[in-house]
Amino acid sequence: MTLDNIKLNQPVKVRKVHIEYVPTKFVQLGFIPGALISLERPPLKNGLLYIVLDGFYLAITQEIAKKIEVEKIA
Amino acid sequence: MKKKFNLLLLGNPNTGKSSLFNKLTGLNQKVGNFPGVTVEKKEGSINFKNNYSVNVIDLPGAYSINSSSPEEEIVSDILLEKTEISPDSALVVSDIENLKHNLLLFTQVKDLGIPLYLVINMCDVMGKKGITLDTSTLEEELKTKIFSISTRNSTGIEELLDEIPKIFDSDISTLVENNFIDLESILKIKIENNSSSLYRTWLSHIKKNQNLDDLKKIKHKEAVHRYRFINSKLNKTLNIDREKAYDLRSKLDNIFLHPLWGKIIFISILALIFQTIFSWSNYPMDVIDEIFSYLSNYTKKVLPEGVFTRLLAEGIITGIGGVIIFIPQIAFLFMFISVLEETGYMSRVVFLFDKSLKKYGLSGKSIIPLISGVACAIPAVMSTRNIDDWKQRLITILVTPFMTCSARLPVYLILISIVIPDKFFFIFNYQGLTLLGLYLLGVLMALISAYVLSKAIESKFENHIMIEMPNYKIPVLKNVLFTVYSKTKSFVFEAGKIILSISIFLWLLASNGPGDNFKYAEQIIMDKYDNKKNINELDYEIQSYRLENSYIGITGKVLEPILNPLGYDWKIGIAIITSFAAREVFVGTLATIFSVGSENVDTIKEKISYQRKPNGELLFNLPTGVSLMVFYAFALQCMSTIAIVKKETNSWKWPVIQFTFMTSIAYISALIVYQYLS
Ligand SMILES: Nc1nc2c(ncn2[C@@H]2O[C@H](COP(=O)(O)OP(=O)(O)OP(=O)(O)O)[C@@H](O)[C@H]2O)c(=O)[nH]1
Ligand SMILES: [Mg+2]
Repeated sequence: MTLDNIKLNQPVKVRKVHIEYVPTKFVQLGFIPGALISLERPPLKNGLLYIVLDGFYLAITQEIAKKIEVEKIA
Repeated sequence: MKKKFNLLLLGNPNTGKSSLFNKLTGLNQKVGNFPGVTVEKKEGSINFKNNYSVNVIDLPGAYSINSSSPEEEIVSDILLEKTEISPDSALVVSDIENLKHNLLLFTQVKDLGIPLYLVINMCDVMGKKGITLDTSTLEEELKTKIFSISTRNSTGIEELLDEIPKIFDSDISTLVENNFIDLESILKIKIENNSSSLYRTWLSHIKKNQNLDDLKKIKHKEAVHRYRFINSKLNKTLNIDREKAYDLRSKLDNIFLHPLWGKIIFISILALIFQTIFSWSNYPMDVIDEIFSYLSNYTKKVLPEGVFTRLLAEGIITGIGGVIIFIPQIAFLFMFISVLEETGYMSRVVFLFDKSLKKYGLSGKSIIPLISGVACAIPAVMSTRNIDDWKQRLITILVTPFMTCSARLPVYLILISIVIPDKFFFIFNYQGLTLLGLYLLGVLMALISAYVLSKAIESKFENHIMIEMPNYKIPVLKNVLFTVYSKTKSFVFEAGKIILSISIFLWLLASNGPGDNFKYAEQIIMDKYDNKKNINELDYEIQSYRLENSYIGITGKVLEPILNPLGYDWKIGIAIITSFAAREVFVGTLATIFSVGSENVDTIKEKISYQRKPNGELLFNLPTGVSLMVFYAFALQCMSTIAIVKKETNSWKWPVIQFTFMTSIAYISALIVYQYLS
């Protein structure tokens, strides 16, 4: 699944980042395979996603989130 | 060791670089711009005993040596020795809570071979957040001296200061194994250019030799590799016990990010700020006004009459007053903005408003400048510094002057009272409706222009919004005061110069004129009225005649053919030119030109409402009045705005473009309105 489908209280792990579409800045911020992401607040429709990436709080757009593949953590 | 060397403060955004900078340098700092860009540059010095000094440079936040914004570009240009600022040594400032993400930049700078220390800031929160760090092991692992500090509690700063002179003794060997580097291709260059680090050679090599897609892949590989290294080191040394962490974040976020309440709270905060800026600034502004008119009169009284005295009293002193008068508004606005930033609330505002403003090519942060623009465009334009994306910042700067600032109000009020009937439409007063309409017109034009500009301006940086959501914090008074101080100082000394020059120039044009009419104005008027008027009335007539025959007056007449289609004559033309100093001057100029001889608005209004055109029509009839209001709503009739835009965009290009498009919109709209109504 992709990151825009993340649910509250269901942390995920980054599997693959489509770097053709994702700016290098995001990779350098730590969106790399293996990074843990959880959702901090439920997003509004088309609104920004407020997430925690390995302890780092940030908000990103859903367009970017669609380009980041993640998997649920068992 | 050199007697003087540069010490760069580097680090991710919001790690406390500027706070540390303030601690290290105190008031020994100067604020300017990096050449060619709108990024603020802060420099300060620390003087040590043995007679040498360190030049500390506070750099903007960057996540890595990679240019994805003007800020990051500056950082990477400096590090890669492409600027005049030599990267002699550095402190990489990081935040204990985000150590992992901060270390990416650290390992990159370290591998460039720059002597550096790692400064871990915000250590005051460690207990509260359940964080422990084995610093001495990490020092060994990173081959770097580490300082755990808190600028908030002033801990660790002295130790750091003591060690700064020894920074050149630090280990500059490569830290992260370079196996993401394609060795073969650069080995040749490396041999030729032996002095620099392998990583440095590689960086400049890939920049020159790769296409964009390849470059992206390489950078990706590098980041993954470096993070693997960082994780392995932090696993041994950093421990975060989330159970112990206690945080207000989610509770406060529930309130401030609520889709409805969040916005209502923000609008209320804004209204409060706004109200305070208006009412608090009034007192100091009145005092400044009084002081400068006193000084001006006093100068005229004590110095012998002559050209020099008048230049000093009417040109220079009044001009300086015109700069100083902005200080209260700037100081108050930045006090509030800085508090909002320091508390972490500003990021929430961006989060809330980003969606609605993005449609117009603006950022969530544009809301502050836009709304401040209703008080005055000067502080508003200065406050765009907080917008990270340069294109959004530029657009905000360009459209903010459309917002109805308080200097337009006197112009609107007098015109409305002359041409709009004081009658009611149901319960609505026509005059009130007109005023409201003018405010809305400003907002509308700002949004439309923003939309158009966002399509027209190209950006070399991708705009993918990423907002850091920092912890909520109690603001540090000292940081707030530093912001206020440095903003005010840079306004006075940079924009101030331009404002002063233009106002002296305008004064010269208004108080000089070619030919005998100007020179003998007094005689001519005396002869004309032949003592039929009393001294005061004669004086007003003389002033009016002088203005008519001054360079400004002549320009007004030259412009008349252009202004006629809008319903204006040369007298209104003169008032438009002089009001370039400040819009409200429009009213005063009309008073002079129609020899009103009073500063009372009602008298001025009465007198000018009778004025007729040569064809017998009332000069200020409905079409002309409305056309003028529309003109003032859209035209960039304000030299101070031009000065501040020049300062903020660091070039004359944008103020010229802005002046041209705003004046064109104003002219065309006023033309349409006049032709339609008459
Ligand atoms: N708790 C705590 N907060 C701090 C400390 N130092 C700075 N801050 C806060 O961190 C925030 C950012 O500080 P700045 O000094 O502006 O950070 P910066 O690195 O210059 O930020 P940019 O210039 O935007 O990159 C402010 O809200 C400071 O009050 C500290 O030691 N402890
Ligand atoms: Mg800073």
